[in-house]
Amino acid sequence: MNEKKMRRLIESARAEPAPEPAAEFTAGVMRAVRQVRVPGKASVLDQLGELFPRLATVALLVIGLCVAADFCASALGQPDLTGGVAELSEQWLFATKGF
Amino acid sequence: MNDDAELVVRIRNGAQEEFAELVRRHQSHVFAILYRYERDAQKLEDLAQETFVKAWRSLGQFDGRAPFQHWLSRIAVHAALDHLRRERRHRNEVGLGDLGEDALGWLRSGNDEREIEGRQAAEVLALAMRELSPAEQLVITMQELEGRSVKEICERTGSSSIAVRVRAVRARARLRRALEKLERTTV
Repeated sequence: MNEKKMRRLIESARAEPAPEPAAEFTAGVMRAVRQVRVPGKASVLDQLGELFPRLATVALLVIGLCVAADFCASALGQPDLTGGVAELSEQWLFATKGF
Repeated sequence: MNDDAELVVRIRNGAQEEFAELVRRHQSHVFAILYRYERDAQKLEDLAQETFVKAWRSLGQFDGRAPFQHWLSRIAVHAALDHLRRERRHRNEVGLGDLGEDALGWLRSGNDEREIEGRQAAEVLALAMRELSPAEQLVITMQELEGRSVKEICERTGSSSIAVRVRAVRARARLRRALEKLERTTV
């Protein structure tokens, strides 16, 4: 096929108009999108879930458990987290003073 | 077209039903893009619907810097490319069964002045295009049928300028060979 014939073919094909969508096309699209999650504003949990699928949830659970354990320990008269941190701090200060 | 971005903001803020207005505004444009890659009416409609659903899913990523139609065109082009890749698994052989008598007559004719009607020409091209890879089909369609520049093709496909140029040259050569093969088959 020579260049001229190929060019003619392409030009004719280019001129062919595309069909118009059917009248109910928009309704079909809307039916389909209603089954999809709402776009745009995602909740904080959704965003976390997308960024760190399970890690974020597990980390939150661990933190929550630690805080709960600290409260329980305080209530039972055991040394709590604050006391532990203060003790550690004193030891550290004592250690640095020693040098 | 300026209020497309405002419409997108309203949809994101909860006015989901207004997405229908975006579909109505841009459906003809999406059909025009996709018709170059799929001529079957039902498959074309499915592909257009797939494009709008993808747009809906990604609406949160539309930043309004480019016109909504450009953004939607990129989604349509990628949907077309995925479609070509899927279709390629099912049909590789070039056959003349789908061509009408006029198209066959034009192919047989040695007269390069002979006219060919648009629909027939598109059918011949679609048949020859099956010999090209999906990426080559995309480039040659955008360049030759849509008349797009290399820069525009890069924007819509995400490919580099060199890749587009190289692919376009290769695609044109392969298209010519495919057309010559069709010519020989009809004689």
